[in-house]
Amino acid sequence: MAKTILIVDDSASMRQLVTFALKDAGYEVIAATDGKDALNKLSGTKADMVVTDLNMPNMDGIELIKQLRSMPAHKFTPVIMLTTESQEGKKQEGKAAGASGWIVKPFTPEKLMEVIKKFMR
Amino acid sequence: MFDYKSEQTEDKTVLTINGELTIQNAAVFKDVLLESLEKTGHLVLNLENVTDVDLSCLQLLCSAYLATTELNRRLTMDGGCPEAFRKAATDSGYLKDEACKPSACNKSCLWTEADYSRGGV
Amino acid sequence: MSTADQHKDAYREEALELLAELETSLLDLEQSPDDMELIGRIFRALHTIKGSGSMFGFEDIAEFTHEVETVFDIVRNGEMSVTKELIDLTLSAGDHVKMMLNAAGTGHPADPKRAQEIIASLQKLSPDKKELDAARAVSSEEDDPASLHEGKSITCRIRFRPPGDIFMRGINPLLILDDLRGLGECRIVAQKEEIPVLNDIDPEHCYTYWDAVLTTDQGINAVKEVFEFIEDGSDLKIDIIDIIDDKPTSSHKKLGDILVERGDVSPDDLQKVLSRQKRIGELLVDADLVDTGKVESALTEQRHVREVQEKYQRSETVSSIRVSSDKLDRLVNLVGELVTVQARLTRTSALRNDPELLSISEEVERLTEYLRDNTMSVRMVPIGTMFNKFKRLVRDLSAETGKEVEMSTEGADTELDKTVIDKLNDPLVHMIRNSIDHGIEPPEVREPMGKPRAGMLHLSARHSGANVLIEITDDGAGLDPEAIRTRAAEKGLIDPDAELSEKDTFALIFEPGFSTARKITSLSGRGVGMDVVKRSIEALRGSIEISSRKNIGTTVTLKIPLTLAIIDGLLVKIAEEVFVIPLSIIEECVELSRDAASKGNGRRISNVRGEIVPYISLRERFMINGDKPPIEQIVITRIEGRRIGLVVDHVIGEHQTVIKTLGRVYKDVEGVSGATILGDGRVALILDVPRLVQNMEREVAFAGQ
Repeated sequence: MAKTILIVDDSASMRQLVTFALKDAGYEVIAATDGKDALNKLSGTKADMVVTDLNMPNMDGIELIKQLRSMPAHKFTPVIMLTTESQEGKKQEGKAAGASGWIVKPFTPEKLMEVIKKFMR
Repeated sequence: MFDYKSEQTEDKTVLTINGELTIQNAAVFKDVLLESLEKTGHLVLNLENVTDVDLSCLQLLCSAYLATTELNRRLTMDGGCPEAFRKAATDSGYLKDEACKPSACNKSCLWTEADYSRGGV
Repeated sequence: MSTADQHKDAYREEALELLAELETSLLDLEQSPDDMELIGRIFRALHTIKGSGSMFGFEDIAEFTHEVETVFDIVRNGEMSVTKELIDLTLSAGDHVKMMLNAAGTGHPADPKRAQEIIASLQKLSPDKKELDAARAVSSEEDDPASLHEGKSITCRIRFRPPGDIFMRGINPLLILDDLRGLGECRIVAQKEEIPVLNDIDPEHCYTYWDAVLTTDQGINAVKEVFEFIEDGSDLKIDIIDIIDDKPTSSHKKLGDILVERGDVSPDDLQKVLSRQKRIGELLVDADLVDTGKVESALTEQRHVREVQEKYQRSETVSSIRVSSDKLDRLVNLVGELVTVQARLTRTSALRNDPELLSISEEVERLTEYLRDNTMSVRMVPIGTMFNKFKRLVRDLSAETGKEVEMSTEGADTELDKTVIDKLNDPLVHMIRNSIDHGIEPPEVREPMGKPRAGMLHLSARHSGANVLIEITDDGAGLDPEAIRTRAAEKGLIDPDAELSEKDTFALIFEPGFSTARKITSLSGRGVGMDVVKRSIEALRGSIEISSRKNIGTTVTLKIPLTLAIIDGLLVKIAEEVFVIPLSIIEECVELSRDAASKGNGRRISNVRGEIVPYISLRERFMINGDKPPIEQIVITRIEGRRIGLVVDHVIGEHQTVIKTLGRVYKDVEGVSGATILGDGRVALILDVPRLVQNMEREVAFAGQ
């Protein structure tokens, strides 16, 4: 059965790019626009992995990670954050909140797959 | 998916596990092991229908084995050895060609290839 | 529209929305300059424009926006206050991004000077720019001394203790171990002595840690990268214990030494136990100085290092045996025969439908394939051996002509079939002579033109699919299309008024009897022209192409198949005739219904998912009688970058094709490069598709005149 990945990003083009790359690699994809939307979308289903941006309105990536880690269903789910070079502090916060790994933007679909494979096979 | 069945006979308890022996179910698995060990002098584990095994469960098995030797009880494995179990034991470096012999394990071990391929300890 | 374009459009649309939002927020901010919510929103908008920009190919926008974002990061951190000036500048920055967006793809980029002005003014506003820059410069200069070991095999000892909460971070440590194994020969021992008894264990905590010994040629950085996401919080120790260079440096260490080196046992304790004579591992455990897991791990390391060294030494001694090429040729012939017989076996067993026979036949098929590949690889030799011979040739020629020539080579380790290399020698010698004789000018001509005194001659070889591309490049006078035309017209090769493309003009020099040399030297231009070269390359099933620019130089490109003896082919059928098309040039097969064929109005053009592909009907080309089936198949091939279809009745399937050369009688049959024997004993012709296409084009050209 195909694994499901939740992509959370407020940028529509980013969601489109990641969704396209993941579907191309054979994953099921759920897309959410921010942390709140992500939690809503997870209320009925389960994701095998979450890829999230950090800077988002309503609920940012850090808070989303914290929330996920407090949910029994997603306590152990791999969470990859999308960061930029200038966000070293945010990255640390994300790690402290329980993020599994990170990808520095800009990235290629190949890099995305490489990192995903480190957490889920 | 994770479920279990415990069958008590005169001299032993057979604990059959089905599904995923992974971190998501580690807490339940620990309780099941504890409960079963309290009831019996000889616990037989049947993992034939286990589909997925990860490190958390290998740790628990090791821990359970330690407990049985400490309490002077027996823990053995019955039934076929599922591929998932063999793979996890090999990948994790738990399985080895020569037995480790910590005094607690009473000169035998759950993780020696010879014992393990016979399906018993 | 391509996917990339779709992504670009999506980005453009979104960026425009973000810019509008940015503007509104900036205007609001002017009213309430302390509103952190607004500042956050502005930062996010800039951040997204930048982050996505570089991913969708708008690097200039990303670079520019990065600078603006940096300033707002400072504002967001409360280290700079919002001023009217800042808002003005940011507004104009937004306008500039809009201009850049609109300019993208038009070929008229937005004014880069404007961007610089805006950035410079912004930087003047922001306080710590210099310090930031300094910090960045330091971090980028960090050079890892470990990369020194690149290319050599290193053996490292790794102790890895993940953080106890690793499971809660969504990380599966077994995948990390798996990655480590992926780097090379690796032994991993789990250390389990910290696992508590069942009553006390926290089932979601990681108690296990690992000792690993890894031999890898990927360099130490690759090893470190495996732990990239888990480094913080892990207890990680990586030591290089052996570097396998020309000679293995260290012999394997004694067990006691390994334990002392790792700090598991003190040297004093070791000495004490050593005075008693028993096996050291047992002694140490008995004495309760170290637990068995540690000894196990040290033993593993000892065994690992010993085995890697032994393997290395073994590979040293067997690395070369000389075999006469006759023996190899015989071997290849035998493999060829075997492949043919195997095809028969496969066919027969398929007819018998006997499961036992089928499984044997499949096994034989697999083994034959291995044998074929292995045999072929034995015959492969690096082209460098031939390149080296040319160094002497170039030296002699430059002495003879008084021209200075510097020769360089590239891809000398590219491998080609021995026979192919042998047959390439003469054509290459000829072309090198041509380059030096006609191409490269004497120093006294070169210098006034601003060229270096010495001419450059570059030989390169590289793989491209089932072919090797060999290029001979010089920086000489280049070919003069006018001179070639005049000459060709003189020789009656072309009509003086004929209009020819540059490519076709250059192709003229391959025509028999053509030579542009003004004087006849001992080197070339003896009447044996490029036509001979072309013929020998085609005999190798290769092709030749020239590109040249006057006074800049000439490049001759040879495309040569890797091997001559066996190819993977696709069997196709027209009426009862079977043909082989080399699989390496095939892209796909599609159907051609009679309807679609008639829609083309007699033009040989098919529509493949919206793309126009011309095709050749093999039935017509080879004048095969009989009726076409209602649905024909088009095998679409790629020839010199263009897609061309071949229409056949049926596609039968793949076939390992042992090429038999056709006798002299068939030498002049165009469009056929050889024959092969099928499993049922019949003969199938191997199509020379590039030649078929050339012929078709010639006919079309004639028809068009």
